[in-house]
Amino acid sequence: MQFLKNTDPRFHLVETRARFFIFIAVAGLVGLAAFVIWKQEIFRSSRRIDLMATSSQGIQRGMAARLSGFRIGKVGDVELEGENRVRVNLEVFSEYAHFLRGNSVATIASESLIGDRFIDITAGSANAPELKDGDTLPLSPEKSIGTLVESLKDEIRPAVVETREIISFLNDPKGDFKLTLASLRIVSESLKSDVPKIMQDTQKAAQQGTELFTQLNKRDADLWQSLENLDQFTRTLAGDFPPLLARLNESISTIQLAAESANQMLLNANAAVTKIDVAVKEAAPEIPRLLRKGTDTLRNADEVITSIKGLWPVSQGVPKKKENLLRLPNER
Amino acid sequence: MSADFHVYLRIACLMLTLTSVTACYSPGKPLPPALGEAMAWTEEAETAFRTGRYSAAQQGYKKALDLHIAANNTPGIICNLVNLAVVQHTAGQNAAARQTLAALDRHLSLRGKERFDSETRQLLAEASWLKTHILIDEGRLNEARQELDRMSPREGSSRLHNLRARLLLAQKQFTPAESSARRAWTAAKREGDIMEQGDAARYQARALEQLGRHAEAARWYEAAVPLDQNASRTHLVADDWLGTARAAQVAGNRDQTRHFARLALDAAKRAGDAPRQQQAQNLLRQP
Repeated sequence: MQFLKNTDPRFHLVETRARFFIFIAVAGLVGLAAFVIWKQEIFRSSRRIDLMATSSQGIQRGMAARLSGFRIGKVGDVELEGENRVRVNLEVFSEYAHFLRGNSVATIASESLIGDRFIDITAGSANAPELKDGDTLPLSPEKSIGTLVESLKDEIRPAVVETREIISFLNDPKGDFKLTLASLRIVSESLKSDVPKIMQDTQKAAQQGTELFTQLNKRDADLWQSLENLDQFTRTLAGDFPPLLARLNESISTIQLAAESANQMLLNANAAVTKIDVAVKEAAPEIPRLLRKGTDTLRNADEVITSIKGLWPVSQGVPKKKENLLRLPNER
Repeated sequence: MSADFHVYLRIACLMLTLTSVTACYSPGKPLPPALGEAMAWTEEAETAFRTGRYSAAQQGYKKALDLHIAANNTPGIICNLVNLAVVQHTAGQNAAARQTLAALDRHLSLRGKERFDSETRQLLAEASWLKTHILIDEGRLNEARQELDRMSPREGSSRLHNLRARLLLAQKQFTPAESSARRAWTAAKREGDIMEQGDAARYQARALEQLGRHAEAARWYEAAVPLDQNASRTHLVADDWLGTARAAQVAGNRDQTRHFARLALDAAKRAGDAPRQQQAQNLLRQP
C-alpha cells in the first residue's frame, strides 16, 4: 500500500482525530446521563411516606414538599385507591426525615394565586414519634378560591352592612349630616355677603395700623419720648441700685446678727423657763395650801378693814355708795 | 406706891382705851334689798344713756324710781327724776322732761316744809338748773329768768354762773353776761371743772366780741380751745376757732383769719357739723 501512499495533508492523522472525536462524544453522553440522574435525584437517599388525600387535584408527580420553606422531598407516584381516597407517595430526603413526626400536618399550598403548588409540611412536636418508612399522613386539600371567597364574604358582610347604614345616615334629609351641610351652605352664603365688608374693615384696620406705625416711627412721637424717659430712668436705676443693694446687704447682715442674738436670747429664755418649770413642779403641791391660806388672810383682812370702817372717826371719812346724777352740759 | 400698882394702873388704862374704842364700833348697815336693786337699775340706765340707747335708759330710771318711791327714799326719787328728765331732754322730748320735773315739784309739795340734807339740796339745785336750761333752750327767756331768780345761788357754783351768763347772752345783756362768765371762770378754776371752765371762757369771749373788744375776745376764744379739746367737745372747738378767725378778720389780719378758719373747718369736719363748716368756708372765701 506504499504506492498508494496518501500524500494529501487533509488526511494526516485522520484516524487519531476520529478516535478523539468518538471519545469526546461518549464522554459527553455519559456526563449528560449523570447530570440527568443527579437532577432527577434518582439515587438520592430518601424515606417514603404516604399521604392520604380525598382528591388528586393540584397534585403532580415531582411536586416539592417543603418544611419552613425548605424543599425536603418530592411527590412520587399518585394512586387512586377508591372513591375520595388518593394515596400520594412522598419521598422525603433522609437528611430531613427526622423532622417529621406523627402529628405533622401536610397541606397543599401555593406561593401565590398563580404560583407553583407544593406540599407544606409542618414539623411535629418533639415528643411525637418520628415517621418511619411507609407511615401515612393525611393530606389536606388546598383552599379553593370559592372557600376563600366564602370566608371573605363573612368578613366583608358586616362592613358592607355598616357602609350601607352610613350611606343611609348620610342620605337622611333630617339627619345631622344633611342639616350640617345645610348650615354650612347658609354660613357660606352669609360669608359670601359678609366677606366683602369684612375685607373692607380689614383694609381700614390695616391702613390705620400703617398710620399708627408711621406715627410711632416719627422720632418726636410720645412713645419715643416715653422710651427715652424709660431709658434715662433705667440708667438712673442702674446707678442707684448697686449702693442700695449694698445697703440692703448690710441690713441683711444686721438682721442676721439680730436673729442670732434673738436665738441666743430664746435659748436663755428656754433655759430660764425650764428652771421655772422645775421650780413650779417643786412648788405645785404647796400652791393650793398657799391659796387657801391667802384667801383666809384676805378674808380676815377684809373683816378687819370692815370693822375699822365701822369705827366712829373712820366711818365719817368712808364715802357712801350712792346713785350717779347725770350732768347735762351747758352746750351740746 | 409699889411697882405692882403702876403695872395694874397701866393695865387698867389699856383696858379702858380698848373698851372706848370697841364702844365706838358700829358695823356698816347693809343697803336694803329694794335700794340695792334700784341702784343696779340706775347703773344699767346710765350705761344705756352713755351708749345712746335713750329708751332703755328711760325704762331703767323709771324702774329705779318705782323702787325708791316704794321705799320712800327722797334723795333717790329726786336723783332718778332729774336723771329721767335729762334723758328725755337729750332725746328731744322736752314736754316729757317738763312733766317729769313737774312730778318732782308735786312730790316736794307733798313733803311740806321738810329740811333736806346737803346732798338732797344739791339734787334740787340740779333740778332747778335743768328746768332753767330747758326754758333757755326753748327761748322762754323771761320764765327762765324767773326760775333762775328763785334759785338760791350757792357761793362759787360755776355751773350756775355759766347758766346765768348764757341766759344774759341770750337776752343780749352782754356786760352782765361777761361779768357772770368771769365769776364762772374763777369758780370753775377753783373747782377744777374743765368743762365749766371752757364754757366760761367761751361765754366771756362771746360777750366781749359783742361789746366790740375783739382782742380780748380772741384771747378768751384761744383759752377755750385746749379746754374744749380736753373735754372732747370738737364742735365747740370749731366754734372757738371761728370766734378767733372773726376777731382776726376785724383786726384786718387776712392770713390769720384764713389760718383760724382752716382750723375751724377741720374741727367742724371732724365733728360732722355742717353749719360751722359753712361758716368757716364763708370766712375762707372772703377776700
